[in-house]
Amino acid sequence: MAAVDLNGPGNYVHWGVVQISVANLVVILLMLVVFALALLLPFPGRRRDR
Amino acid sequence: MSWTSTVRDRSVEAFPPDRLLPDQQPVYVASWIYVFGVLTIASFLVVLATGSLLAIKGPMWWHTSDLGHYVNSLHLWSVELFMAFMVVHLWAKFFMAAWRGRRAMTWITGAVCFLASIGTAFTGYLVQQNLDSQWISTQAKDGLDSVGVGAYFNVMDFGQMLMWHIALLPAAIGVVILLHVLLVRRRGVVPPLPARAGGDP
Repeated sequence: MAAVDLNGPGNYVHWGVVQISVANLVVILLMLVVFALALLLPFPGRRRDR
Repeated sequence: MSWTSTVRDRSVEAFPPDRLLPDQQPVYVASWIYVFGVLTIASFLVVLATGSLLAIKGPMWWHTSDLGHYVNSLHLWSVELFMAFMVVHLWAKFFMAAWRGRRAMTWITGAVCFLASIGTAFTGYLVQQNLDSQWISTQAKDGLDSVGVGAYFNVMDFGQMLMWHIALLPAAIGVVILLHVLLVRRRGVVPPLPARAGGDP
């Protein structure tokens, strides 16, 4: 059994003239999260006493 | 002076060994935001390896066998990561104005790589041989015909799209990535923007 049922029409978000599939929206949001984490998370081994 | 010695002298002058293969980077590079370029290249290598396997074994293998399905999926997901890492890299470099310090050509080669990757992904969708590729190609055909390139770039021609996907575009991306990395070596990794105008980074 698949985690997501793909045997049917796709799910879309409609917002005015903007129309985007939920799958693409999720991917974009994940990329934004990764971008934010890359800025915020400390890098291992980085010296703080510079 | 022969052309070989001229090329050698200019290459060594532009890329001294310690600059071509450095073992240290500036302190500001110790941040997760600087890893997305090399993550993009790592994903690209997986894309090339899985794509090569698909090319060697052929469509009957990737459509019908379990291992073929698996490698086909690896090819898709490595492309997903390749594009996602490249776009995060693009965001990071855009917001730090990475074209500063005579790095315009580095920025331009990155942009060309991005556009060529979109073309490669597009032709990849066209050669899946499923309903998706039929739908995408017939939709794209009208768009490309309307701008007058349909005669030269025929998305309904499976053989032509396969050659673009597995030969011309990957070769172009490989060359552009090589140029891009050499330019990063030549000019160095771009420093962060100053905390305030005129201040130290």
